[in-house]
Amino acid sequence: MPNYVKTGPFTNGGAPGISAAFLNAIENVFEQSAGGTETGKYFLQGQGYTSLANYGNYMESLSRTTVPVSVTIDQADQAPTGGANTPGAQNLTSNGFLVFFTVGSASSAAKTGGNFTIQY
Amino acid sequence: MELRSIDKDGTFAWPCHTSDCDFHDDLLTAHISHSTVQYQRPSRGEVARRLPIDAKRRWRASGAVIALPPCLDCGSQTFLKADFVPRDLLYDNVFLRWQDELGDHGYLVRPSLMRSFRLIAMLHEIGKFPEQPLLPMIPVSALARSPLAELSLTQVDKLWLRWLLTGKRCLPELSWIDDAFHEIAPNFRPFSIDPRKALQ
Repeated sequence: MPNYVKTGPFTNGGAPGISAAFLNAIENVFEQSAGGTETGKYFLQGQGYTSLANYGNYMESLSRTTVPVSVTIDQADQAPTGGANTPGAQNLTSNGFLVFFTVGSASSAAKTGGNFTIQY
Repeated sequence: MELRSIDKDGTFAWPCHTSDCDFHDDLLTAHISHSTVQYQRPSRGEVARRLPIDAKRRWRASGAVIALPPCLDCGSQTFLKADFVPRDLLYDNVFLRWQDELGDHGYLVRPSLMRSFRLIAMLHEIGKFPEQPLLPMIPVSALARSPLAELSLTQVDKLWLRWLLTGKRCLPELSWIDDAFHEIAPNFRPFSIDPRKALQ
């Protein structure tokens, strides 16, 4: 989902009217079409009680029903620090995906964050 | 991001998702045998059964992904969905509707999904994907010995998946392709999914 370009504000009987293109664009957010993408941010911060302890969060997508093909994540906002290893992703479904990291050793403030792109 | 190509030798390519990255337009490439191309799934403790099928014979997604090598420029990493279940094929946007220049309609499996199925099959062949793939694909080694050898892998997969999922045969003049499929997989019964219902 690229940056959203606002169509409104709408007024009764005035421009812009409710058009098929507008409605389809809205619907494609909630059910991505083939080739579509949904983008967003994730940020994980937590504690690891021991080496390889796992810390994660399920990122719910706006799109439902459409089966995704892949998810790509980066660490553009926060490189792994405080003992965090490079984050990974699993459990990719039509509802979202799991993003997680493990810690290299017991850590009280491991964190990482960045962008995600779900490809449909 | 999705795979853009996959060759018979196991080399595949995909773009980086970062718009200002050098590899957004110049694709990243890797070979299936590379150590950074990895099957990953939640640990055994998080998954009740080895096979993604429960007691009522319903497939359960295992959560598995195929991790691709990180981008050489920006470090972002792509994970391909690898735990497809039959429901994914029945109810979601698996098929694309297309119309040829004569106005005839047809259905094709989404190319992005098709390449994922092919990659999973290739990784399974070399022992890097331990689960049984949902969809059997024609092994590249079998292609070399069949009349299909003259077609590209993409062409074969398009026709194979259409036959596999819908049972739809090729045009009469291309019946040799159906014959080749039956020769390679004589006992296989197509899923017989109706794309029109899957597209609703």
